[in-house]
Amino acid sequence: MKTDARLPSWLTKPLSDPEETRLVRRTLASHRVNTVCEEARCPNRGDCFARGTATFMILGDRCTRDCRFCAVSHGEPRDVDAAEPDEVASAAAALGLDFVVVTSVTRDDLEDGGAEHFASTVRAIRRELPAAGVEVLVPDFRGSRESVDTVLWSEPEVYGHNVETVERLYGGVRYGADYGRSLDVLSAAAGSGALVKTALMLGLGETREELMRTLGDVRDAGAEIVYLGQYLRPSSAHHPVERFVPPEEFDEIRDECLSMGFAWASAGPFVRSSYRAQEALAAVEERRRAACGREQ
Amino acid sequence: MLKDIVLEAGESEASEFTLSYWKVDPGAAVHEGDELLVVESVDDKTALSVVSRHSGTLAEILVNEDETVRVGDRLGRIEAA
Repeated sequence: MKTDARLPSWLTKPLSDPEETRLVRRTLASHRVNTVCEEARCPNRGDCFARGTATFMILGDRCTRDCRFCAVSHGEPRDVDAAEPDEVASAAAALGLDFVVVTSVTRDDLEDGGAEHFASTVRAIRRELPAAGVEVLVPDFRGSRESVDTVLWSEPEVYGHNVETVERLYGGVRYGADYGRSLDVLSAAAGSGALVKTALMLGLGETREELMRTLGDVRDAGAEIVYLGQYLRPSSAHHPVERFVPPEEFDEIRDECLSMGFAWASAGPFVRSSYRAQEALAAVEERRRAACGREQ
Repeated sequence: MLKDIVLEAGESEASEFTLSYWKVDPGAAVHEGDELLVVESVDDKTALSVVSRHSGTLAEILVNEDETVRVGDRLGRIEAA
């Protein structure tokens, strides 16, 4: 029996039943909203849709950047749909979500990078689902502190910005981005008191030493939640996978993250920044409550 | 009674797959929900396993490793218990 498959055995998922995901697909289609689950062809979308959840992607479906690891379409973006915040809120309500994750394509063509649209979306979700938690995963807004603040003022429960990889690889896989600028986004959000989250992909060619230095940098910048997953190549035109990281190595790295002081760390081959995102918030809030109890 | 193992559409948007490998040999006992084989496509980021809809014995393999398969193809047969 052959065991030398193209992908290692730990990167196998069961072929999901389309019946289990039909409700979510129909709801998303009827509200004409985009999800990063579908646009990025996330390997977890079957699991998430079957659990009745999805991660919304706003500001259209075309990114103005062309990261070498990303499956989202890039090119000339369309006009921003002013009805999108309400449609996202309505779709989240139709799905009965009690935790809503919103991300976007990067819109370098917009003066504010889409920050006001992000904030409008958070506020629309608040109106529609007052009890729901909201997590945003924002682009770097080309370093605009004003745009970072615009989203902060909408008061999401979790403020996410992904550094994605180590500094050395930015030039090769993340055109238009800047490592220091991404750290600045994290520190600006953390400085305002937000619960800050970031994520990295492993297997793009980083060394363990570079990874640990990066984790130290994002922790120093104020990130309290970190997610680490295996980079998977969307197509042969994308950056190749340099290494498949075994599950036990992810476990080791997660433990190291916790010892570095992160309040929550998720690490595993299929971990993605918004996968089961609510679990992190719940755990961090529980820790904070426990810490308050000890101080009183 | 012989039951077909059929490649279902699932979440994958790919139309064509390569059968990577069988996880069970002909004659082996299988249970409903057991992973029978793994397929891969250029359009998916992961390998996908096909699970058994029946309990019984893997009676026959109809598609060999490295062969191309499409959604709806019969891949093998199970002698249902």
